[in-house]
Formats: sequence, structure tokens, C-alpha cells
Amino acid sequence: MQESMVSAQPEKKETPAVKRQSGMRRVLAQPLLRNLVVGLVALVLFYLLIGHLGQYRIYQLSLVGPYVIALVGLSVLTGQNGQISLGHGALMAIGAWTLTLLQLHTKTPLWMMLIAAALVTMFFGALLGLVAARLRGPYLAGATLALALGLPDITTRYQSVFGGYQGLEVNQPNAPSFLGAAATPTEWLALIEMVCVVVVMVLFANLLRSRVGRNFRAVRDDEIATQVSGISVPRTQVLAFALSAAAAGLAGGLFALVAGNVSPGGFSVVLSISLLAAMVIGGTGTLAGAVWGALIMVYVPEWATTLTQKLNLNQAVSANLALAIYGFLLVAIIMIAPVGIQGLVRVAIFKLKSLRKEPG
Amino acid sequence: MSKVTMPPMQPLHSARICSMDSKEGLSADEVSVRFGGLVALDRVSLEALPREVHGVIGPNGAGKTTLFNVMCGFVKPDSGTLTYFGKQVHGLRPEKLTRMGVARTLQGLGLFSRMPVIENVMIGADSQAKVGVLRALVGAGSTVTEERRLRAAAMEALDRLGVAGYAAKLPPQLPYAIQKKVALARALVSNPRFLLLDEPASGLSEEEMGELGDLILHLAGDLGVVLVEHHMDLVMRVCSNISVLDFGRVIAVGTPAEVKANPLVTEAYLGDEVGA
Ligand SMILES: Nc1ncnc2c1ncn2[C@@H]1O[C@H](COP(=O)(O)OP(=O)(O)OP(=O)(O)O)[C@@H](O)[C@H]1O
Ligand SMILES: [Mg+2]
Repeated sequence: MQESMVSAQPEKKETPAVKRQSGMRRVLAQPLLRNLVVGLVALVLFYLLIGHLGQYRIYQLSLVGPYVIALVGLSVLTGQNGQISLGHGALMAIGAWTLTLLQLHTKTPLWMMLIAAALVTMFFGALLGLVAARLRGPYLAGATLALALGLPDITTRYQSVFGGYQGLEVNQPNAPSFLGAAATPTEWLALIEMVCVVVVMVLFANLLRSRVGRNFRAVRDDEIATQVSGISVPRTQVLAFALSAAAAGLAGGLFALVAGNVSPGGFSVVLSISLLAAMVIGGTGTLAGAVWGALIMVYVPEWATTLTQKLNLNQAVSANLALAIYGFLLVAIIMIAPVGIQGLVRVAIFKLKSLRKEPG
Repeated sequence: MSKVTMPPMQPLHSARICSMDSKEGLSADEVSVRFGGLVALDRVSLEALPREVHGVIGPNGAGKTTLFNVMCGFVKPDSGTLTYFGKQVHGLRPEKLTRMGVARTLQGLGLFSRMPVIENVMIGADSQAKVGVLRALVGAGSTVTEERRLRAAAMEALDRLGVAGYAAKLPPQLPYAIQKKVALARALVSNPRFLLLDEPASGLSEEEMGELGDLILHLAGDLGVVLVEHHMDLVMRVCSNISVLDFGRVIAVGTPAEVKANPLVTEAYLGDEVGA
């Protein structure tokens, strides 16, 4: 749309300013470059932002990162490829323990541990995808739910390896010396996360714009028509599951770093279901929706706690208030905005644009 | 009218795959399909030749769609074989056959309802695409070039059918006849050598059906068409050969005139449509 707007402009004498602007536009019209530019800008803004926040606020923010990444994976799987998963919490657990065990037993550099967390989880995701390709709707939900229920049991059964109920400790990485004494481990972790978020966002944005993303959507809309168009439905579904799992695995690894430990309690079914709810609230199938969803996952419980403290409510209420707000948001969003918060944002942007276009 | 029949031909590309075997096209031999106790196809044979329109007619439930499902690899026959330019291809997955040049449209529409028309057609062109997942993820330059190529091919297919103006629309927003054309464009964009059309005229007006007839005859200039249709006017006009199915069996094969004159056919239809 932007391109056509540019070309539709009447021939003007090009002043240098106009030229520069259209050059910038041309850069932004290139998907790869645009993604990179947006990503870099986000990174710089984030760096400036954490300079103004206290340690606790930064810690909170760094809880958002893993959820964004996990939600991107889940949202692409569900919203773009039409497969549901109640097992993404368990996939996060696989990534978390992969990183933890590597840290405990080897001297692998951090970036390699994170990639390993993604790859190992991707492998399990592909296996799950092979099962999933044979299942539809409720049966798929059931199978993935079984994973979410069963996996924490494995960690307690093999205590000596996975640490049992207490779980295992995870060391937080120290900031490299070139950042100076200014960067605490918390800040450093927040930065690492932001880089991961940007990388994952750019990769998935590329993917969705490519033929692979289109094939995902085709399978979602009509499997038979996809197959007669020469695209293998099961292969596409396995691929979607594998890539989605890779995101969940990376998210799990980061989550372990932020939390400072991994334990079965952190990856219960509740996590899987919260992810699904946050995905719907944020906007299923959209990348930006993953950000909204992750913010809600972190800040709604926080606000609920503050609220109960202010209102002097007792513990039992405060524990459930977050869930109640969640449920309320879910119902409200499904009723007023089928594409979640991101759907509302899109409508708002569209309205603003059409307002601006009206001749003044 | 049925001058479409070609003299013995030497299709450019068939030389590659064609063995010394005399089989020149897509043929089903003695194919049987059972669904539980129901015999959907009973030793059905059909030979579709390049540059020929082969009609398949028969009452509802006769097994026409099932025959298509076999011919495009969707349903594995319980017995019988499928041959493509002399090569045995039965048992191949449908995506393989599509890549080898067998395209089809579905009875009904089968459009991707939440994808714009242009993307619907690009899916049909995907069999020509090569960019893999890794390059797609990093957004390599090759992805961009390939996307542009697929988009251009899809646009051309839409343009050929006169519906390029709807490229950005979602299928459910369009009139039925336009949607039909989009589905046809999706099949055509893969440059098939054989095109299987399952009731392409259903839901079209008299005039649109005339256009469709012209189009099919035009397409038969360089590819083989197998046409399942209930509209006898269209079938009689464009087909050079017709197979008649009834209860899963071929009860007649021949030119339109022969089939029309066959009492078995009239009986199968209870005389209502064929006489028209
Ligand atoms: N997947 C299936 N499972 C069970 N029975 C099937 C299946 N597909 C088709 N049939 C049955 O096989 C028979 C042939 O069906 P088919 O769809 O091939 O008929 P058709 O000639 O295309 O009919 P129509 O003109 O109504 O499209 C019908 O009795 C149908 O009910
Ligand atoms: Mg049919």
C-alpha cells in the first residue's frame, strides 16, 4: 500500500529532503532491512529504558522476554497453521533443563546453550509434531495436554538427573567487562533477552512472509486443497510444530536464567494454559500479539497482588484474583475483539490513517 | 466441434518420461475402490490423452470424484494401476503427482478462505518453488526473488482468466463464479500437463458456462483435460471422448454422439438429462 502511495504521487521537483525520505522508504519497503531496522531501534530504546529503571523493574521486564518468544511460537502454530498445543509449557521445560544441565555439566558458552535449548526442544517438538499430524482438534489438545501433565513427573522420577521437586539451580551470567561496572547481571540478562526477542521476531516475520508461512496458512484453511496443490500437509504440520517448539525451547532456557532455577512447579499445566489464554488475549497468529500477551502474563498477576494488598484482601483471594482477571480478560476479548488486543490496535491504526487521509 | 482430437502427437516433454510403452497419457487401468462394503469403483479404466478433453459423466454417487481422487493420488485403489506416460505412479502421494504435472480442481471450491486471492493462487505455484526453511527464516535474497516470481506467475494465471482485479480480495467476499475462476487459476498456475476438473460449471450462469467451454477448448490446445460434469451441453460441446460411470462401473465409452445414442446411458440417467 505504501509503495503504491509513493508511486501515485505526482511528479515533483525532487528536493534533497524528499529524496532522502523516499530512500528511507525504499529501505523500509525491503522486508529484511525493515525488520532489522525496527529490531535495532527496539534494542536501542530498550537499552535506554533499562538505564532508568530500578533492579526490580528490570527483573520484571526480563520475565516478559521468554513469554514473548514462547508466545510467538505458539501463536504461529495455532494462528497460522491451525494446530493447537496445550503442551508448550512442557516444551519450555525441555529447553530450561537442557540449558541447566549443560551449564551444570559443561563449560558451554551462553549463546551455544541457548541455541542448544532451542534445537533439543525442536527435536522433541518434531516428534510431537509427527503425532500431531495424525490428530485433529480435541484429540490434538488431549495429546499435548498429556505431555504437559506427564513431563513434570519425569523430572521428579529421575531426581538425580533433573533435581526432583526442588529442581536445579541456574547461575546467572555476568555482564562482559566492556559494559563496565554499570551493568548488573539482571541488566545484562534483560539485554540478552531483548536480543533474543528481536532475533526470534525477525526470523518468524521472515518466515511468515515466505512460502513456508503461506503453506502454514493453507493447511490451516483447507487441508485437502493444500494437498491437491502439491504441498504435503503432514510435513508442513511437523515443520510448524518443530519451529514452534524451538521458540518454546529458547524461551525455556531464558526463563531458567531469569528465574535462577528450574523446578517442575514452574512448568505445570497452568503455564501451558496461561500461554494459550495470553495468546488469545494478545491476538492469535500475530507477532505483535505475542508481546501484548506476554505483558499481560507478567503484569496482570503483579497488579492483582498490588490490588489485593491495597484492598487488604486475604491471601486466598489474592492468589486467585489474577486468574479471575485473566478469565475476565479472555471472555471480554473474545467477545469484543476476535483478533485480540492486536486486532484492536490494527483497527485503531486503520482509523487514524483514514482520518489523516481525509482532505483537510 | 470435436475437432480437438489430435493426430498422434509428440509432446515435447513426454519424451523424457515416456518409455517405449505406448501409453501416452494419464491412465487408470482396472481400478477398484471400496469404502467398507460399498464398491465406489469397480475395475474402471480410463485413458486421458494430452490435448484431449475426456469427459466423465454419470449420476450422483457414480464414483466420478472417487476416480479423480485415484487419478491424483488422493485415494489408493484397492486394485488396479495408475500409469503416467508409461510410468507406474499408483501409490504416489498427491503432492508428487502434482509436481509431475497432474493438477485438479475440487468439487465445491476448496479455496483458502482467510488468504487473499493472490496467495490462494501462489499456493498452486508452490510446486515450482525451491527456497527452503532456513533461507526463508533469514529472509535471504533468494526468497524475495522467488516470491516475486511466484506472485507474477499467480497474477498471470488470474489475468488469463480475467480475474486479476480481485487479487487482494478474500475469497468469501467474491461472487461464486469469480471464486470458481480463482480455483481454476490455482490449478493452472502449476503449468500442469493434465488438468482434472470436477464439476467446474456448477453454479455458473448460461453465459459463464459458454465462456468456460471456450476456455477448456483453448486449454486443450496444450494440455490434457479430464472433465467431470453434469451439464450435458457443455460436455457434449467440449469433449472428444466420454466415459460414462454408473454405480462404480464404466457402462459406456465413446464420442459424444456414440454416448448419446447408447441406450444404457439413457437408462442410467432415466432419460432426463442426456436427451436434452
Ligand atoms: N471417503 C469416503 N468414504 C466412504 N464412502 C465414500 C467416500 N467417498 C465417496 N464415497 C461414496 O462413494 C460413492 C461414489 O462417490 P463419488 O463422490 O465418487 O460420486 P460422484 O460420482 O462424484 O457423485 P457426485 O456427482 O454427487 O459428485 C458414493 O456412494 C459415496 O457416498
Ligand atoms: Mg463428485
